[in-house]
This record gives sequence, structure tokens and C-alpha cells, in this order.
Amino acid sequence: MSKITNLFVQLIIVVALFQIIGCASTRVNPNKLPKDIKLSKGLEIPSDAALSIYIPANSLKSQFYLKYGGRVEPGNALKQALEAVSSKFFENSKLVGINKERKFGLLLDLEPEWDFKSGKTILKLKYRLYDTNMKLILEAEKEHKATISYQDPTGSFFNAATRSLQKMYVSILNKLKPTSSLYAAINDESSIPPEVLADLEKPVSSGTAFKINKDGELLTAAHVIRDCLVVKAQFEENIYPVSTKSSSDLLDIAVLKSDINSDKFLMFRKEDKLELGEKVTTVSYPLKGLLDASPNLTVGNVSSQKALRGSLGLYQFSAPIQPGSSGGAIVSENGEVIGIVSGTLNTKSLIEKGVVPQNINFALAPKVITKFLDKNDISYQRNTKKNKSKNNNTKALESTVQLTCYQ
Amino acid sequence: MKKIIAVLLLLHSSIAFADEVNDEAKSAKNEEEQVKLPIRYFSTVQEDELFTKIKSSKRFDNLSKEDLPGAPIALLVTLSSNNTAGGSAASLGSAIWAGSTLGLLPMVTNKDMVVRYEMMVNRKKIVDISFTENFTEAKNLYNAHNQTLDKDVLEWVLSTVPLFKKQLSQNSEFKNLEQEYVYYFES
Repeated sequence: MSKITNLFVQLIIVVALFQIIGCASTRVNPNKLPKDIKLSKGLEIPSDAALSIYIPANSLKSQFYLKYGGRVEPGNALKQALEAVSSKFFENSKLVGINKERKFGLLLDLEPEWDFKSGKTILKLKYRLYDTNMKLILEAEKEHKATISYQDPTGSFFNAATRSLQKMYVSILNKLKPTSSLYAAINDESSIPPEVLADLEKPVSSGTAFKINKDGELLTAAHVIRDCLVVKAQFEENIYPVSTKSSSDLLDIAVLKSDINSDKFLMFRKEDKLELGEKVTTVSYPLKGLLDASPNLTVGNVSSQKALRGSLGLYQFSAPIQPGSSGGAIVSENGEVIGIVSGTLNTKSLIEKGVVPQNINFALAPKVITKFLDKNDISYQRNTKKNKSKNNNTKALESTVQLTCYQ
Repeated sequence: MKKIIAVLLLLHSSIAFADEVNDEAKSAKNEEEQVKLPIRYFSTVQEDELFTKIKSSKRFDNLSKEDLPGAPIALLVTLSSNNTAGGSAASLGSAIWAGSTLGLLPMVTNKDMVVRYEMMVNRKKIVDISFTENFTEAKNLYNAHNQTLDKDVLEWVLSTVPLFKKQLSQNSEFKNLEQEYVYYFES
């Protein structure tokens, strides 16, 4: 009888332990502070100071897939935690960029970094706090480890983010005791210099663009500059800041403004037609960081007037391209723009199915490009002469720039 | 007096009927005006009922699972569960009890189910709509690995489709996308 009682007691203990583990892996309440995070006595929350928050777009979008755990979204977990925790401490807090006319009293620049150790998700949260005149008033780092739950893997990211943010806000409030009168919202978000927030030492991505008129306007693929806080163009030996004039995500096309002062630019063909099999040249700056900064010129032909089923405005070409070639010009034998490098076939998924595709790349057709330029009142010229010569390659090389994106 | 009430009732019912006719006509007109965007469909919900229900309106007539690999517009529907504080502890506890009774007792779980509709254009997210509902399920230990959705959960997932469509039709980024598609590819 005593053995049965012992077994029963052991079972109860095991159940209790599992319940404790179970509790550890559930999502924490962002509205409650744990015992080890304490606000100074007499401090009232939320603060009425207008807080703007900058966080790199890639940090809010990061996600990956586990073979048996489904989709894990550290970015979404961070966003949810940020929304819930920020409003608890600052009643008037918003992410930078939604409304550039919004006035701010404090600007919080966040730099999150994830790590994993011994079944824990770790968030190292570096932060810098500026006042309305962009004077740095605080710089520190907070960290929190959360147990990974295999039932809800995103939950551990949410928990680590929630606790790190709570530690950060409590530290800020205890040190500064911010109020709207102490940190008055004088300047609006448009006055924030992007270079202060962007990490200019680590480019997020790179791509290619080319000049289409004497005004220094550049044409590229929209995905090259997506979510960039700062975009810089390297032309010859100089670096130029560029900004977006107009773009379309549906077409994957963008026009950039720059101060590049050069008479060399590429013209479009007299008619927006493509010949099946016609020779094409691409000029681009692929594999930044691996290849030396020099333009790559590859040749091929228009291999099909159509692209993948369901694609819009794309055609197929065979000239080799690499990561970083996106946004580069497809140039005809006559030296005219007849497309923009858009992308390539996802070879990885096809190789897994036993198919090895070769030289299947896609470009945006000239008909759609010129329709976009006309719609947005962007000037360009059409070539009326026939001039097949080696100079056409030089012209393409002289009109192409390398783009680098920073967040 | 009775006659007056009867006339009023008749008048009211005829007005209501006229409204219904107007609503029906409006919705038929709206349906007619909807743009048929080519959209790739991905979902973690394996049940075909969801795909069929989304595809049932004209706006999603050109929605496809496999036939549009190059379409720049994609709809991703995911169903996930978030542990609840009490539910997680109860689940583990009931799993132990179920195990200790060799499956005689069922495993009880309590979770927040989240169905999320995300629309991407060339990988840029323009729409992100989600719905959450709490569910308590009792499962037999030997049947726990079964991946098919519980009937109640599936019914709830299907009930979110009209809500998603309504919110989508009011989304300004989606409206711009439709206009842009018409401008470049249908005019």
C-alpha cells in the first residue's frame, strides 16, 4: 500500500514539474512587470512625452521555417511586443516613418540581435535615445533569455522581446523621468537625418541602376531599394546619396533622384518590341563584398517573349546574372534599353525536384517600363539611329551605377 | 386602428424589401466591378474547403495553388496556435494523466488559434489581417498525432473568410494594387 502511495506522490510531483515547465513556455503578459524590474517610487506611467521609435525594417520582418515546427517569426514577435510594451510606458509612441510630419520629443533607435544558447532564445537589445534636436542622451544595452517552447517557438521570441523592452523602458524612465514638458516635441520626423539611424558600416543589400536622362535620374528594380533607410550610388569613383522619386511594387520598378552630373545615359528603343533570339548585354555590379567594385558585362539573348506562368510584364533572357545584378539594364546590340533585370528562376527548389535549369533569367519588358515612365512624367529618350558598335558596351558601362542599401 | 397598423407593417416590410433589393443589386454590381488579379495561394490549412471558399468570389476567381508560379501577387493563409497561460499547464498535466492511465483519459488542450491572411506583391507585404479565437479540445492519446483540423476549428476558420474579404475590399493598398493592375495589364 505504501508503495502505491509513494508512486502516487511521485506522479503528482512529476505533473507539478511539467506544469511549471509548461508555464515557463507560455507567452508572458506584456502589461505586467516581473518582480526583478522595478520602477522608481512615485514615477507615474505612461509618460506623456512623444516618443518615436526606429527599428531596422529587416528586424521586424525576420522569419524562418522549422521542418517540424512551422513558421517562426522573430520579427512579428518583436513588433507585437514593441506595440504592447511601448504603449504601457509612453502613451504617445509610434514607429518612425508612418507619418513624417509627426513631432517627437524623444527618439529611440533600437538595434536588436538574436542569439540561442542551451534551449534559450536571447535578445540583446542595444538602444540609443535622442532628444528632439537629435542630441544623444542615453545609450545602453539590455538582454533577456527566454525558454524555447516547441509548441509555440515564436512565443520565446515574444517573451525575450517583451522582457528586454520592459527592462529598457524602466531604465529610461528611472533615469530621465521624461515628460512632455521636459522633452518637448518641437521637431518633426522629417528632420531626422537618416544617416544617424542607419548602420552605415553594414550594408543590408546591394544592386544596380542605370541613368536614363541628363537629370541624373536612375532606373532600377524596386526590390533593390525596398525598406532602405539610406541608399547610396557609386558612380565612377564617387558616392552619391539617392532618393526614390516613384516606384511600383507590382512591376518591381523604381526611379531614383541623384546629383550625378554626367551627360552619359541610356536611351530606349524606338518601338517597345523585342525580337526572339536577339542578342542582349547586361551590365551590373553583382556579389558586392566578394567581387571587386567593377561592373560585370555578360551577353546572351532574348530566349522567350514570356516568363513564368502568371508573371506580369516579364520576358526571359539568357545572359548570366548574379545576386546584385537586379536593377541592371538589358541593352540591345544597338545600345538601347530593352529591359531591367528583375530576377532568376529559383533553382534550389527545382534541383530538389531533380531538375537543373540553366540561364533562365527574367527582365521587365520595355513596353511596361515606358508606360510606367510616362505615367510618372519621367523624361527619357528613344534612339532613332542604328549604331551597332563596340561603343555601345562602353555607353552601357558608363551609365551604370552600383546601389548600396543601409538600414 | 388595426387597419393602420397593418398598412404600416406592410409599408415597413416593403421598404425593407426595397433595401434588400438595393443591397443585392449593389453587391452584384460590386462583384461585377471586381478585378480578377492573378494570385498564388499558399496555406498551412490543408483542407480544400478554405481554398474553395476564398475562390468563390469574383475577386479571387484567378486564385491558384499551382498554376501561377510566376504571379507577383501571393496570398498566404496560415493557422497557428498560441499557448495560453492556463492552457499550457493544463495540457501537460492532462497529457501526464492520459499517459498514466494508458490513454483511458483524454488529453485536454486549450489554445488561442490564429488565422492570418497575408497578401504580398513581389514579396512586399501589403495586407496582414488576422483573427483569434480560443479553443479547448479533448483528444485521445492514440489519435493526438492526427493532423486534420478539428471540426469546430475548421468551421471557425471558414467563418473568417467573409470578414477577411470585407476588410480586404476596404484596404487602400489593395485598392491601389487593383487600379495599377488594370492600368498596366487590362487597359
